[in-house]
Amino acid sequence: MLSHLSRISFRSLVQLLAVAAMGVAGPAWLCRKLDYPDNIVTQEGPVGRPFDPAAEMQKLKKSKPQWVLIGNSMLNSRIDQEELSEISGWKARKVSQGGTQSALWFLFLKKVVLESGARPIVVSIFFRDTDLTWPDFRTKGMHAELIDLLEGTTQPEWKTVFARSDEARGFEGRIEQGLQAVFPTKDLRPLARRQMQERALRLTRYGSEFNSSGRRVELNLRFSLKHLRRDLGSDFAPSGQSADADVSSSGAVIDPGLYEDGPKIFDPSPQASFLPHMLNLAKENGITLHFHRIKRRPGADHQRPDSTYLQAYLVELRKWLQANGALFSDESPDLGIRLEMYADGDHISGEPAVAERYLKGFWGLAGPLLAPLKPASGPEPK
Amino acid sequence: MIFQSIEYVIFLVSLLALYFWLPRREQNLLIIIASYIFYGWVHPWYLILIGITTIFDWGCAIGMENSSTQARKKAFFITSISVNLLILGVFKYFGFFAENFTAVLTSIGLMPSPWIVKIALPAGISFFTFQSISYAVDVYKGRSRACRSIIDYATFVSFFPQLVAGPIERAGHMLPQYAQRRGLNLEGMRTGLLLLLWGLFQKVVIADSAALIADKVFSLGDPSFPILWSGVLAFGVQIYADFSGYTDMARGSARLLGIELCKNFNHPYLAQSPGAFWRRWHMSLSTWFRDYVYIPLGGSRHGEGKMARNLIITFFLSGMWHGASWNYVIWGTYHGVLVALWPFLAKRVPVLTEKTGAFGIILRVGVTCMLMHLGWLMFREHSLAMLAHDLALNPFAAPVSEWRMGAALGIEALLYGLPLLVLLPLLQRLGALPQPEDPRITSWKWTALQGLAVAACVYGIASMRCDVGSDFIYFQF
Repeated sequence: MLSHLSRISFRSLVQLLAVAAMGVAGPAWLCRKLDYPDNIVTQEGPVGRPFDPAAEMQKLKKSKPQWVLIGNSMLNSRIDQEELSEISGWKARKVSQGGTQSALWFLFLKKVVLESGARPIVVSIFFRDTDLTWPDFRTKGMHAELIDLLEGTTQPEWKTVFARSDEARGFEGRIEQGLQAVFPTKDLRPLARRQMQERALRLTRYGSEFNSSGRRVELNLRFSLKHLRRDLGSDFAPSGQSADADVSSSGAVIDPGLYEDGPKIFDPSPQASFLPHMLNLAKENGITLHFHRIKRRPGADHQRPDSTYLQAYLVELRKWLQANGALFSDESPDLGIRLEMYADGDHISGEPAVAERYLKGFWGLAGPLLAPLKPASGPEPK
Repeated sequence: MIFQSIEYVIFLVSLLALYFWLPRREQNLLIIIASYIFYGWVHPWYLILIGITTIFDWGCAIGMENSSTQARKKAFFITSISVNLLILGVFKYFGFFAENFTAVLTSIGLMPSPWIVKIALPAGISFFTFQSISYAVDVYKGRSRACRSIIDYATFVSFFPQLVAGPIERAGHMLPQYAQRRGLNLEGMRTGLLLLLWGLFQKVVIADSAALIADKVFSLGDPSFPILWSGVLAFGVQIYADFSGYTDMARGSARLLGIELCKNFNHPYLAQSPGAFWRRWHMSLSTWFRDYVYIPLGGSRHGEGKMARNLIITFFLSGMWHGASWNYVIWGTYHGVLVALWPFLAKRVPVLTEKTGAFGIILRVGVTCMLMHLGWLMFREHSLAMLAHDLALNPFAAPVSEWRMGAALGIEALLYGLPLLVLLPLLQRLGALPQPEDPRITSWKWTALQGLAVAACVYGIASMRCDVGSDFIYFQF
């Protein structure tokens, strides 16, 4: 080996080291040298409605709802806040964004609902299966941008939850942290992507009055749920399969790929999810939390049986939530929520008759739970 | 294991730390162990397949060479080919044929309910079986000597950089390299590192960003003509950057280990005819089909009609190689027809021949690009009903707003593709990309340029990589 090493020329070695040094030092310097504008607004949800925390807070402050509903497109496709207010007699308001998951729901509660100064009596969170204890689900890409906007990663609860996942990632996690320390580009990436999009939009501005954010909204609307293929899982049946593909010919439900990576066991510890932190926040602010599990797309027999592990998980979840003063409802056993009521994936269709039927069913479940909390004065339910 | 992961970096660095200390035989042994770890990382049972292929083909090749009679030699040859085709048939095509067979029986009422058996498709199966088949054919035809060392042969079959998505190598190119000890070559390491980073840039910046646009468009149920074609354009950028990126990462990794892999791409979108495209795109597969299918079928030896037939059959099989699905069959046949028809068309339309000036070149490149992208539509669109819908779209029915949106999406995809589509050909044209054997590589000027190129790639990867990553498209083949 030594004789082999002696054949390596000193010049070659220096050249290799020089190339490596340029490859590290140059980009590291550039990453620090560039100034990032602090007004990057890059968040756009899959449903095409940009989420603006300040505007949401303003609306909450102004409307002072008694009931806030947090969630993603599962909530959006199911609940119309005006209709709900009318049917329930509770002044209801949604704080939602398509594609979001538990990390962002926690931030919606902490950074939007509570910071707005509105003090709702109840906050309902719409979730699917194991969403509530799957903190890192959908925290990347456009979700990361929204998380940054809500200062998510600086929250102490965030650090508690993700400290364990960083630890669990061990050596690999430390390497990633090291890379981020050398090349601090987390803030730069959304900006770079946004600039690329901006250039493309500007190059096609001719013949129209150019309004950058208007064009983005236009694009988002063009790719919104109602334009997606029915056979594609928009929030989401397994991609590349038909909307009914998660139901076998025998009618038994196969666990769809989307949730295969999720937690299999219910873990209520503060390091495992945002769930206990949401409950703490609610307690501190005198709010009751209500967790509503939505029914995922059923089979042709309108049933959606749970796998064995999910049954055990849900029993534990319900028990723990109720022991901690939260409310729990589950629409999955409701056979009245039929297959034909679904649009794509797990979304409920926007047909008026379907929406009405759904809303009645939902209020039928939530109403008795919320009844003891209702203040004496207020509009009577319809 | 995938190239664009931290695990791979740790894996490669650990391997390199050991590799150059070892003698030749042990170097190959280490490559085999590393390759099996790489390939079996997620699904260890895949290793059984690769093990079977290796042992059978190695044994059969020696059997062929030791055979005293032609019949015996042929028997070994047929055994080797059959084992490879059986593996490919069962794991890649069984589901497809069974599905179509039951669909036909069900439609005529002979089967009350369809039954479908799903068999998991091991990654890269088409690549290593084709490499093994080429070895068996070469030994049978006397073009290669049978490899006597099982270690060298197993290295040839399993070499991890090219195992999952090629390039599909030939024994004549690889076995002599494995027969020598690889010493530490710092110049090779420099260019290898650059190739690796350039490949990574193509994948995580260009391909993954273009994929966001293509995936978006192909998830629409009601695309208009301009939006659909912006998605096809984005897919054209995506698939090129994805596959070329993989190949460059494979070549870069191999070069770090002192092994040279063949080139797989040569600016395919600058091709001036469909035939030229296939001489520039996935070159190792194109030459494989040329040598082991097209020429044995008769090639161009028996007149234009037979040549056209042979081309269509070859491309039909190439389509099938890409995937067990009707859209790939249509895609392959489409290319066969294009390549076969082009010479006839060129005779009648002079501008299609390669003898005209700049205008002709631009026109031919443009027409070829459009035809290739029509092919990409067939490749990307798995639903035949949607494909029919897409092909029937009327460009005049789309409102201006749709054209504007489509143009914006298409331009965005092209902006991401610029380094690959424009900058690289330009640099190569200027002679600015020397190979490791080029004497200029040792000069300080080239060292500085390489340093700048590495810095540009690293900066690009750090600042523009797409957070939503995806698998390499060719892994599924």
